[in-house]
Order: sequence, then structure tokens, then C-alpha cells
Amino acid sequence: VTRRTVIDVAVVALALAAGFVGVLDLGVPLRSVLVISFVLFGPGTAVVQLIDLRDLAAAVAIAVAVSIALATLIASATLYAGIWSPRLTLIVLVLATLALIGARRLARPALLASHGGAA
Amino acid sequence: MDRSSHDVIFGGRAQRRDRPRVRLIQRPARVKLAHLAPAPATALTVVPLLIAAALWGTSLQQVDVGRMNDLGLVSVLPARFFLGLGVLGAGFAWSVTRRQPRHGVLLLYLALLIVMLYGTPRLIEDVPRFAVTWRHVGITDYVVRHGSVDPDIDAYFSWPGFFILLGFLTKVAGLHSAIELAGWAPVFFNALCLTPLLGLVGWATRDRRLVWLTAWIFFSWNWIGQDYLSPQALCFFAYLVIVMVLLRWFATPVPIRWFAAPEPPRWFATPEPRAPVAHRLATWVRRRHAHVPAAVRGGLRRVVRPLHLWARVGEPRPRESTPAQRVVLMASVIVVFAAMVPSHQLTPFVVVASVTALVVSRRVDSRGLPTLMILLCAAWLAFMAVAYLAGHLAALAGNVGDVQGSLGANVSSRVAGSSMHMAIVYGRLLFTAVLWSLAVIGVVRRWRRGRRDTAMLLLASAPFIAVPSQPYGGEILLRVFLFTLPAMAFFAAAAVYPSARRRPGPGAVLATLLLCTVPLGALMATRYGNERGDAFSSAEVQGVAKLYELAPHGSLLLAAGDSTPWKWAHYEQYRYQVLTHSPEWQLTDLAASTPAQLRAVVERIMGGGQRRSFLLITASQQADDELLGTLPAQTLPRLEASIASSPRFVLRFGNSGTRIYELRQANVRGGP
Repeated sequence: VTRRTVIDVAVVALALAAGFVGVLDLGVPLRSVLVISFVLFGPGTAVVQLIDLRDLAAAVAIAVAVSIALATLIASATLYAGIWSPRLTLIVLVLATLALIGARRLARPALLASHGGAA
Repeated sequence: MDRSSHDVIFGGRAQRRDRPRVRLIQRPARVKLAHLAPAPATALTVVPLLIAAALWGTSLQQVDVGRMNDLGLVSVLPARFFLGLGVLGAGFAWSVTRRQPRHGVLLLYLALLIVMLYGTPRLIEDVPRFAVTWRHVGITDYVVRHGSVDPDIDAYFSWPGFFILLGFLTKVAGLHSAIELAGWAPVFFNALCLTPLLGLVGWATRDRRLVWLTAWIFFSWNWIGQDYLSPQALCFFAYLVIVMVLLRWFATPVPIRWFAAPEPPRWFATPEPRAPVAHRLATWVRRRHAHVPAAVRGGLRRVVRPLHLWARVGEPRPRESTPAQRVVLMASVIVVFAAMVPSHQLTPFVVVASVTALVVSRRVDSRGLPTLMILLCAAWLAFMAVAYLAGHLAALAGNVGDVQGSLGANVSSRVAGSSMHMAIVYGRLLFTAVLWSLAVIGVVRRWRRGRRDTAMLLLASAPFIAVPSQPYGGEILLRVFLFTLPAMAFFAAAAVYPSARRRPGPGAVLATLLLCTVPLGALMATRYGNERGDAFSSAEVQGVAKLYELAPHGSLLLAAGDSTPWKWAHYEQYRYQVLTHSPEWQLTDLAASTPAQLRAVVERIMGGGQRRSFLLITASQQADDELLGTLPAQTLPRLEASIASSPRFVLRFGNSGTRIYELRQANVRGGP
């Protein structure tokens, strides 16, 4: 089991759990912890997982910043589009996270490697 | 453990030129959590941390916030609290001056430091501090209730990104109100800043003592208190992330031939790397003014080229990266900045200034980024903040270039208040001056060792461009202090550790000990010096809740002072006014007026319309007025006594922290 696999599994589990309790509006005790943790870390971690930074401090900072930025932009887009819906925003974030993780795991390593020559 | 753990946290190993280049697809790294755990040999260094935590935890039970005077929180904190801070600082100094500082141990110290410095008010006070925190909760409440924003209400609705995020979080997390997130917001935002700060400084130096001491100084000197539940707190974190990413992965590498070529290289013949501005200027001058005597041209070359080379000596290299990594990282920077633009008025422009300075000086090679950032800012101003600009353009334009006015609003107007508060104000100025002086010493010491640190110098100076642009409500210097704090903290730490050493000497150890302990007490005094006016009791919040029960929508709600925990609900449903901001009140000679005359002014302010009017007087307002000298001594108690005895007013509610008076108006339906 590699570090990236562990992180992938954790992010997917967090996304599914947060999406489940948030969208269904379940009054479970850890709901706020689950949902806030996902919004803070989930989407950005999926983005950072696309690239292997090997740099813990920077990776955490970028993951949190991108997560918050995506949540802000998607929530703002729904508001200005006149379809304000926190649930819809959460669904989009969960789906985006799962799509990013899935795309990375399904992508052919050789294809990525051919474009990944070090600068 | 040592070098590899440094690489795990700061990613330094990939910077070494002799390492194979990092590829996107390669053997995955194993989880190396053991790198963060202290080895048995270093377990002793954790003992001061445990002692400090115990001293701090037990000291909080002795705090009686009600006995606070104008010195703020330090006046009620027991000696045990400061002893705990001292032990923590001494323990950190011990850990960081060891031959091989351990990242895990230092991280634990910083975590406890953040909780002790920024979490203490939450543990000893009833409710979240700062009136503006409660206002932000009210704006979030508006967004949640309406699912829209109304820029005509006030400026917050022209930059609502943060409040939209907060509304989204509040709803999906099942919270009753955003105030549930406010109490620990300072701890959260400071902890958030730790990782980009470590990443930024970890790029500038590989000396782990310098990195960790910078982080310690950053949190020890962050006295301005902009880390409450606010857009600027989140945007400051985003600012740190953006500059960290740009410098770590997009810094311009120094071409070897700059140092080797006997003649200036032919910049115009090779598109990459482009010449720095100074070189291009020299080339342009040489070609354009060929008639200038060769001696002069040669002299110019002899000045400009060595100057530029000198400025880049010792500059860190960017991290090696793949094109895919650069694409994702640049996309991340753009997304983070795009979310910042609708969230805060000031921070995007500081980011533009800093990034432009880095690009123009060729420290960062993302040449199109400043233009893109400016376009994003301009687009938001032109299309989404037009309501605000329409009403404030003349005032905004009038302030540009008014340095004296800006400094007056930021410094002169703040040097006022009670004698104890004046001591705190001068303490803040001294505290700031000490940091900046240490930073100057650090710059000189680094230069003398061949480290120019031009990028960090630019980060320390670029935000000052905001000073002549806007007074920003008398807060621009505070904001500039915050934006320059990471770089200033780096140079202040460099005053002790200008270059890496295996073992620091006795002088460096003593200086580290002083730097790690003394500022902590000073921070508690300067950061929480206004606490008597900034803190609220639960009785005051209950009083405001009662006010919302009593007052029908559309009523005029008049607060006797700024420090009021209101507007956390019904943001648009009342007409809110602060007595001391009212033009009629400001035109009154308060010192020469009798209480009855002042009461008449209040009556005029409250009775100007056909709506019901309520006056809210709280203990925090009175404390704030006394602290800042907003009103002459005893003005508010005498005014309240006069109001209480007047037949025109009726007391509708009172508790230990709040009184609510309603003005009797015969022609208003539903009045008392």
C-alpha cells in the first residue's frame, strides 16, 4: 500500500461520507466535522494528488487553499446564477473530487510519464 | 532522519542538482510518518512542552475577565500563564538550538504556541470577541436566508465571496449560525498559515533553525488581530500560498553564463531566458545611444551588470518540476486568486503588487500572471462592485497619493485614549519597531554572508505601495504590517542565524532564548490591549437578542458606541446607527454640553422619522469609550442617567450588561 493509495482511499471515503450526511441533511454527531474536513481538504487533495510534490508542507497548503477556493467559486457561481443551493455545491465538490481521483487512477501511467519529463 | 525529514516537510532533497530529476510517474513514496515522531533521545525536549501546557491549562481557571483594566487581557492573566509561555519559549529555544533540531518536536511547540496565544480568549470569555465578527455572522445569515446578495446594503455585499463560503459551510455542516465557527477562528487561521509559511521560508533557506525560528517569530509578533472570522484572514492565507508556489516552482533560474560570460550575453538573440530588466535597459541604452562615449557606456555596464549579479548571489533555485506539475500548480494559483478577488477589497491588490515586483525583477518567470490578475480585479470592479464604486469613487480617488493623510489616519488618530491604553499603543509601535530593526540587522548579516534574498526583500517592501494609495479606514499600516510579517520574521530570525551552522554559539543561543520568550508576553499586551472593549459578555448578546424581539422590522436601532455585538441577524431589516458616528453628535461640543443637552441630541437623532427607535447601551460600549477616549470621561453614564429620568424614554429591557430604551413618539403606531 503506497502513500498515494492511502490518501486516495481516505479522500474518497471522506467525500462519500460528507456527501451522504450533508446532502441528506442527517443530524449525525460528527456531521459538521466530516463536512468541514471534506470542504477544507477533499477537492484540493484530489488536485494535489495529480502531481507528486514530495513536499508535505507545500502540498497541504496547496490542498487547503484549492479546496477553499473551489468551494468559494462554486458556491458563488450558484448564488449569482440564481440557483443558490448549498447541497448542489456540495454535490459538485464531491463529484469533482471523485472524478479527479478516478481519472488519476485510471490514467495510463505511460501516457502521463511521456509528458512528464523533468524540466 | 534529519535530512530526510527535512525533505518530507520542505521538499529540499529534490533541489539538489546531483539528484535524478523528479518524474511524474515513478515509484510511489512510502508513508514516512516516523520522520515526524521524536526519537527517544529527543524525548526530553518535549518535557518543557508538557509543563507549559499544564501551567497554561491550570492558569485559566484563575482568570476573572470582569476585573480587566485598560491594559487589556494582561491585567487579569495570572503569573502562572506567563510562566507557561516562558517555559514553552525556553523549550522551543532549547529544541531549535540543538545540534540536530527535530521537526516533529518543533511542530508540537508551534501548535501549542498557536493554541496558547490565539485560543486563550475563547477559553476565558463568554462569547466571540470583536463587534465586526458578529456583523460578519449577520451578513452570512443574510446570504443563507436570501440566497442572494444586495450590493446596495453596504460594501460587504460587493465582495461577498467569503460570506457565501461561510453560508455554504453553515448549511451543509448543519450549524445553527456561523457564530459557532467564530470562537476558534483565530487558532484555525493561524494554524492554516503555518504550512505555506514553512513552504515559503523552506524555499528561501535550507537552514532548519532559520525556518522554524521564522515561524516562531511570525506567530509571536502577529499582534494586529486580523485573524478573526473575516475575509482578510482567509485571503492572507491565500496570499501566502500564492507567493510560496510562485517562488518554489516558478522562480527564474540563474543562468550559469551570467557569471561566466566575459561580455554581456546576447539577450535579444535567445528568447529564453529573457534578460532581466536591468540588463535589457543596459542593452537598450548601449544600442540607442551608440554615440555616447565608450567610456560612459562601459561605465554603465560596469555598474548595472555587477549590480544585478550581486543581487542574485546566493539565490535559491526553483524546485525541479515537470510540465504537468507546472500546469497544475499555475492553475491552482489562478483558482486561488480568482476566489480571492470577490472575497476582499485589499488583498488581491497586495498580491498583484507582490507578484508584479517578483516578475519585473525576474525572480518569477510567470510573465503573464500579473496581467491576468489585474484583468480579474478590473473585471470584478467593473461588473460586480460597480454599486460600491459609484458611491465611493471620488473618495477613493481623492485619497490616492495622500501619504500624510494616510499616515495621520493610521498612526496619529490611534495615539489616543486613557493613560494605560496609551502605554499599549506606544508598546505596539515599539514592538513593531523592534521587529523591523531586527529585520534590518538580518538583511545586513545575510548580505555579508553572500545571501541577497532579493525575493524576500521584495515581499517585505512591495505591500508598502498600498500606504499612499488608501488609508483603508485607518488600517492600511496594520494590513501592511501583516503582509510584510512573513518576510520580516525571516530577516529577524536571520539576525541570529544568518547562515547555517552545525551548532550555534553561546551568543546565538542566548539571542534565540530571548527571541523565543520575551515577545510572547509583549504579544499578549499588544494584541489584547483593547480587550476591555473588544470582549463581550453573554448578557450583552442576550440583550441584543431581546432588542430584536422588541423592535419591529424597520425600527431605528441606535447603539451608544462601536463595540456592540449586534447585526448577527436581521441585517437588512433594521436601520442601524451608532451614536458616536452620527453627524449631529459629532458636531456637538461634548465637553461643554450638559447631560440634558446631550439627551436632546439623542432625541433628535432617534426622533427624526416615523419609525420606532431604540437605544442600546452596553458595558462594552462604555469600556470602549473610556479606553479609546471616544467620549469625555463619564459622558455615557451621565447621558444614560439623564435618559433614564426622562419621560421621553422608557426602559424596555435591562440586565447586567445591557439596557434598552425606547423613545416615546406619539405619532408612531405600536409605540409605548
